[in-house]
Amino acid sequence: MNWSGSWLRSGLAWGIMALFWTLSDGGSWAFGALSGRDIALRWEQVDNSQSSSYRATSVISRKSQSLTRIMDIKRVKTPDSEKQLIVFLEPPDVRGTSYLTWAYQDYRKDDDMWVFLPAESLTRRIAGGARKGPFMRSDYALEDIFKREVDEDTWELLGEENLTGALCYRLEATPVDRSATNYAKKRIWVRQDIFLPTKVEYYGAKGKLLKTLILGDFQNIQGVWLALRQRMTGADGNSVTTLELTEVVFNEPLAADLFQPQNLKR
Amino acid sequence: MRLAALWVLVVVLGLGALWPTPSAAAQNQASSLPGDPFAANADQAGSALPAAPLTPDLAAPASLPGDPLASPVAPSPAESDSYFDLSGGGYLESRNRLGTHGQGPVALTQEAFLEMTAKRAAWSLYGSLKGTFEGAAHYWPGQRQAGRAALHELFLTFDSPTLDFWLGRKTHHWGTSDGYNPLDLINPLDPRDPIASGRLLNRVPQWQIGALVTLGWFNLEAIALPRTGVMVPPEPGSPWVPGSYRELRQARAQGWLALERRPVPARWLKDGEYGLRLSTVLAGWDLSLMAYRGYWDEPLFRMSLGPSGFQAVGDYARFRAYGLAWAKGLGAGTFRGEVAVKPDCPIQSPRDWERARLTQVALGWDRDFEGRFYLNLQGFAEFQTQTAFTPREDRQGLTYEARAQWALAAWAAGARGQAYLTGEGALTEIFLEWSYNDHWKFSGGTLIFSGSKEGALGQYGANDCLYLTARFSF
Repeated sequence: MNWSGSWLRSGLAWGIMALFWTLSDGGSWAFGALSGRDIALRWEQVDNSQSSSYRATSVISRKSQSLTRIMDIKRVKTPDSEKQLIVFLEPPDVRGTSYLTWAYQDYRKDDDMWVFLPAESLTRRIAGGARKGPFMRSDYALEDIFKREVDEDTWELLGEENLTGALCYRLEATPVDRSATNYAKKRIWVRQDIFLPTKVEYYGAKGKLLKTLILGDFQNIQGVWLALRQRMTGADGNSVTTLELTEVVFNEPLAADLFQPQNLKR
Repeated sequence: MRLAALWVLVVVLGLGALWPTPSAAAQNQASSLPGDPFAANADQAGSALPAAPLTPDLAAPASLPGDPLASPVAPSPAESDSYFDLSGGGYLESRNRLGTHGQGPVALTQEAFLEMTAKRAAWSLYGSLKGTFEGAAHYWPGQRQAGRAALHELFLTFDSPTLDFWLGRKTHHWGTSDGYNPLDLINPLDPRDPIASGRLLNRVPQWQIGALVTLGWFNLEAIALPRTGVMVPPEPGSPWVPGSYRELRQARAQGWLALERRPVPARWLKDGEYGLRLSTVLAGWDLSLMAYRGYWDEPLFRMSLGPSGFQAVGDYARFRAYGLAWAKGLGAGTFRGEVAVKPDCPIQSPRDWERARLTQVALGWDRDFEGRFYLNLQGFAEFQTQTAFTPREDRQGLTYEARAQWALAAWAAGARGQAYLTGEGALTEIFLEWSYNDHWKFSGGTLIFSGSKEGALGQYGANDCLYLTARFSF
């Protein structure tokens, strides 16, 4: 009986200490074991849908100009890749132009990319070099639009930060293959509540800030959290591109042939 | 005829695949197509990480605290489709080419282009009209028709997971190479305005019927032009009349040659053109095998001496083509090529037309340098066997484009062109392009034809020009 009482008192003491420690530093305790890569993986898993489709409207504000791009985007996951089809509805001179990408989970494997040019009724394979170029004259590069595998970067958790009222992990992503991307590193603020980024800073050589992406209007649609609005600002602040998603649908059955290059057409 | 029969077989097979038999319906429900994410085991993919905090939560709040771009209103659901999904647009373009040899304008083309698409479920209808006024026609001797408005494309498309089908007048491009396209056989050149750029040709849409059947990882495409699609020679006076036609027409005008051109073969189906293409993407390679049976685009002339003097009779000749095309992404570049064999290719000799085996090879590489520079190089070669009146001929050449762009691609400048290394001449274009906004685009530059006047490109040496183009898209 004495032995049991001693065990009970000892266990109770340890339990109280553990509870006190948990309550005093609960957030850190709950996620303290997460590495930067773990957080990136959690971010990747937020969208656990098998397919999605939406309309993206982008407005580029530059000096006195305002350029508008409207795209229909469809995306589907396969066992070894993610396939994405972008069809331009605006501006008028590229209406009907389509980009098809097969991004492989094995990041050492080159993505397959095609463009369909309606005026010439021509489907043409394009290569990775184009990924670094501006996406339709916007502040986004093509590589910012397409999926990037977690292991294409090394991840470091720099700490936590409260950003506009939301507690965030502050991550730094450094590319494994520097030659394949415009960016020497990215600093990313990932919200702790939904594991989605709310801010990304893109850095070039010598640590120069190139542009900043703010994400927001977080919504839960069909059980999937996502940011419906983005704003990319150039480092000089003279050029801003906003991106807004509408008509978002997840897990809509999409025919496999939609993502075949032979099937690209008007 | 064998090719035509095979074509019919493909269409029948495709329609058969589409017919909803009970077993096919069951297979469709099981989503047995490769790459279909909704296959029976699809739910295994994309499962959440252990302890992932984000299980589906339909009762989640519409927005979160600390959201920098929060919307004051909840997101609207996807809009329901109207009966037809209609879209349309077009452009107005002024394309002006001023000759640099004092010969006046090569082109003062004012063009209006209107297009519209109507979609409903798997069906879509596309149509476009093109109206052109050629102001330079007033400067050309003998040219009468300056303005014309015509249907450009009009086709109906049916799109299903196993079968696509189209019917109508359209442009349909085959092959992967740039500027030199030995397998791009469906649409003939536009005789009024054949040169789109230093290494791009204008082609004319053709009436056709086609089907694309998906067979696992392969796609089989069948295409038929019920009536032949060939090039009618440019009207007299046009700057794009080939040198050989010009000589024949001059001889006729001088009265020592009777020139006759047989009508374009126009018997339905019997004078049709047929093609098959089997294509796939295999380990990053785009591969396609092609077979084609049709008419050579240009008329060929047979010379004879009759009781009333010399006579030249132009006619259109059949030929076959078989080929392989490929493209492969290699790092930041793309490697592409085509091999075409035309075993009974019609060729024009001085007195008659004959047949020879023509083998054509194109090997190209292009690379985009971080969106700032673009380089495209392609070499090509032709090997033509000996005939009764023509010795064996080999020709080689290259096409190229070097482009720089800046100000987030609003400006671009560079050079592009094609050049034969065996005496057929060269075409060089130096260009500057400016996209002012979403609607206005301007371009200017020069087109320079060089080489022998007997050569395929050198014969247009009188068309060297400076050009200025303005386009308003809407």
